[in-house]
Amino acid sequence: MCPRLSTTVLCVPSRPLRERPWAEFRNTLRLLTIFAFTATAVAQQATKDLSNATLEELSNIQVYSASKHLQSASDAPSSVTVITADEIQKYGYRTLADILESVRGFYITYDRDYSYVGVRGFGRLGDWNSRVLLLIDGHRINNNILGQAMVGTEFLVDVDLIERVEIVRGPSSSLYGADAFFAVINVITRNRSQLKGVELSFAPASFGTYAGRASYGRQYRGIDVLLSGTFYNSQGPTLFFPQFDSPATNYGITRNTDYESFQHILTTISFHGFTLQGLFSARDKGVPTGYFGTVFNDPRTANFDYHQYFDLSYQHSVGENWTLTARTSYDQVRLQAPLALPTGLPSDPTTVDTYSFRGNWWDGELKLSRTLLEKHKITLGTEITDNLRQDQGNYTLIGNLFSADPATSLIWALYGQDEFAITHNLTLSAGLRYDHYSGFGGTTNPRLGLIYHLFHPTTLKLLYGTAFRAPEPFEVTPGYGPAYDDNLKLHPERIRSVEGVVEQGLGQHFTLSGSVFRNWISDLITLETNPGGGQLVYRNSDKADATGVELELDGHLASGIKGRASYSYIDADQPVTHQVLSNSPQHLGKLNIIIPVLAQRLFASLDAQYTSSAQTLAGNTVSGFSVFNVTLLGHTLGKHLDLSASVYNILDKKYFDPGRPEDPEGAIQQDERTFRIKLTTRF
Amino acid sequence: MNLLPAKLAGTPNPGRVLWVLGVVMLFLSPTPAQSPTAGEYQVKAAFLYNFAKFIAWPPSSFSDAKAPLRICVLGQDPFGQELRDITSDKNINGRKLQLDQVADLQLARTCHILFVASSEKAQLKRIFESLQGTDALTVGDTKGFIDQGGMINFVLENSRVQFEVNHKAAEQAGLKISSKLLNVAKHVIE
Repeated sequence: MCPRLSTTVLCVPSRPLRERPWAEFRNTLRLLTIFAFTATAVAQQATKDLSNATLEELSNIQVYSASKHLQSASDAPSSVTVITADEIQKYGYRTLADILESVRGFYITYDRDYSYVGVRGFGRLGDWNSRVLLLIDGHRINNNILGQAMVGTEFLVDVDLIERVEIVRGPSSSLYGADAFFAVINVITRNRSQLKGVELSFAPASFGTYAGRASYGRQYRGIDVLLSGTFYNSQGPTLFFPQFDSPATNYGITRNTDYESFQHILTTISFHGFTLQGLFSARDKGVPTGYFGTVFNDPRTANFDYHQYFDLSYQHSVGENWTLTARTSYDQVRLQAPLALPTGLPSDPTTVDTYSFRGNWWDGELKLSRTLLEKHKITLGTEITDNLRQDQGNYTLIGNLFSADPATSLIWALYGQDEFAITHNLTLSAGLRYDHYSGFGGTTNPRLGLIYHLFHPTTLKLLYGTAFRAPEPFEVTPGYGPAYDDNLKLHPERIRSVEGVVEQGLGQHFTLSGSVFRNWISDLITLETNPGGGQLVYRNSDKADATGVELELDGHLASGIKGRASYSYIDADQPVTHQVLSNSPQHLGKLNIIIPVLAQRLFASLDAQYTSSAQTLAGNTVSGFSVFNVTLLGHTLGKHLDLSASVYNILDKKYFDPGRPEDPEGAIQQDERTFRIKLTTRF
Repeated sequence: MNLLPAKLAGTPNPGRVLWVLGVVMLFLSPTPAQSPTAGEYQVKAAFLYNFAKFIAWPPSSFSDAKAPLRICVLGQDPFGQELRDITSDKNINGRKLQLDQVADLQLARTCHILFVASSEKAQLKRIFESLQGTDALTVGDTKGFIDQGGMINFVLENSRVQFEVNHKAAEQAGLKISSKLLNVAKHVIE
């Protein structure tokens, strides 16, 4: 019986459910239904009252325009989550990975080197985050050798400089081209209106970690300037790996190998529609896992990542109807991975080989939008990427040999999109993009979205789209030595996706969103043994399907309490064998609440994730776990001084993420309870 | 009734308690009021109320200590009930708020906050000229509002209501704007 919620997915499962996962799912549905009813009941007593909101809160409220249609999130032909700077502060998020971990349908796998994003049951071990597109202020971050999007401590921007993160689920190659496979993550950095004057931050944390930031923002004769620098240094914990528990390998104990340091510089200058952004990021990270057969407990095994870019964009409105956006940028990426390897020689037992990747690319984009007859919003664009350098190299100390696989490529694309208001409450969004790669040729990807504003607080969306991930140089011509074979015939991986979304406002204070989706993924690029020569080779040989349901409740109350709770159920498998995918948890639960302890002065927050069990590559199981992070944030001296204290994994849960193919461990233990204190002053 | 998924229920007790506590906190909080999204003019109305808090009028602007603070709308009222809801039964520094729809520029001269609706776009210049010598805070949401002499203008940015301030014009009228308000402004003409 669901009189009020009959249009939402909550009432769908009336038939008896047989399988056990469905039984669990049903229980959760029951739970959420109860909350939804409570929420509705509470919401009905509500009175409109924004008068207690502060100026900052008011300027952060998303509004629907006078036409009463929600803009952005609810009008977008996708399911979208937005995380704001305020939440980043109050939840004590340290990295972009922390932010994504709290988002419904997302999970993070950490191998004590990089953080990898899993989306909706798909988190292939051995991949490099090339199936999510990461943008900083619209600038593509995925590099041109591994396609890697860096989201952990390796992310290029201090999270305290983020104004908001927009997470758009579903394939979006129709607008963005490659890598917009499962999701697009657009990180929007703060501008002068959010950062005025000087801001200094210092944050000591567990494992001998110290981080600091200095930022400066000002407006000068119509020119907005933001300058910021960050440093981070961490000794890292002492770790124990049972695989190495023998006298020859220090009984599995490793010290000073999980170290990390990074530096970032970000500069943004805006003037009269022009924005010039310059970014520099360098990171050194020790790799303690003994991956790729390296000597255990040797601090020389590490990863050095550099990424720097310049990006100049221009936005101009011509008359009432036309908007022109132009962008040009130049990126430079260096990845170096020294590996301390055993030689077997008694005189000189270890040697260091270094993998080295160099990527340079230039990108140009032109986009024209126009409103036509008040019913159409048409966008046309073109983009060209010249990969000037996509080099892979390997330096071997013994013999002083450097082998290099230089490569270049060119990509051009044309795209168009139309948002057509069929009636005042029904909008069709249709997009199409053609990408041409000098390597494999062309690929065309459409996206269709039907958005129906049923009545004011209810929005229904029906979405269809396809996307691709282009084969990366490390797959086409692996520069890892003679054991790997080239495959010049590799073509893109593909995804087709259908999704139904319901967004239901429950009174003034709650929004309930539900989503049902199915993903068909084909031509997955997989490392196989060549039957002829016995070498390893990448082939378009694998497939995967995923079906899932997501539910989320967002609440925002006058008392200042706000938060969200979500649950995702995903059933992902290999379609022919029905084999379960590795690193694919079926259940994800997220819970985030901010509670004001002293109005506008002191806030407490809880950030919790439940991740169900998942399979490792060897077919073993890592058990499910709940992680709770707690933060207290205080403003003193009239917002001139912020003090925050966070405890991560406060219940000290011992849990594991599945290891990658190069890791000797099937599962890698994650951090136990850690803390961080952060002081921020502004003047 | 089993409220939690079996696997969740299997996690250690403190964890389970935290999950339940957290969810209950979020959804059973007794004092509701504000949503993450709101109507554009609902937010603008709340801003108008806030402006009254963060701006000091010269004492001569009120006939006595009990005189109400007048918020007026000139032109086609885009607020409807929203502004009435937010200003009713409110006090600022002991003054009641009085809401008026004004049709006549002469009546507008005694307003403390004057919202000039976008319907008056074509005659902004004339309006500002006739307000010379008054201490009315002029607020609008029309492109070019502050360039023509208005004091605060609302703009929409990423579906959020932001505002720009012509500090110079406000100071000339004898108004003191709190730095808190200026700090939140997207753009300030000094």
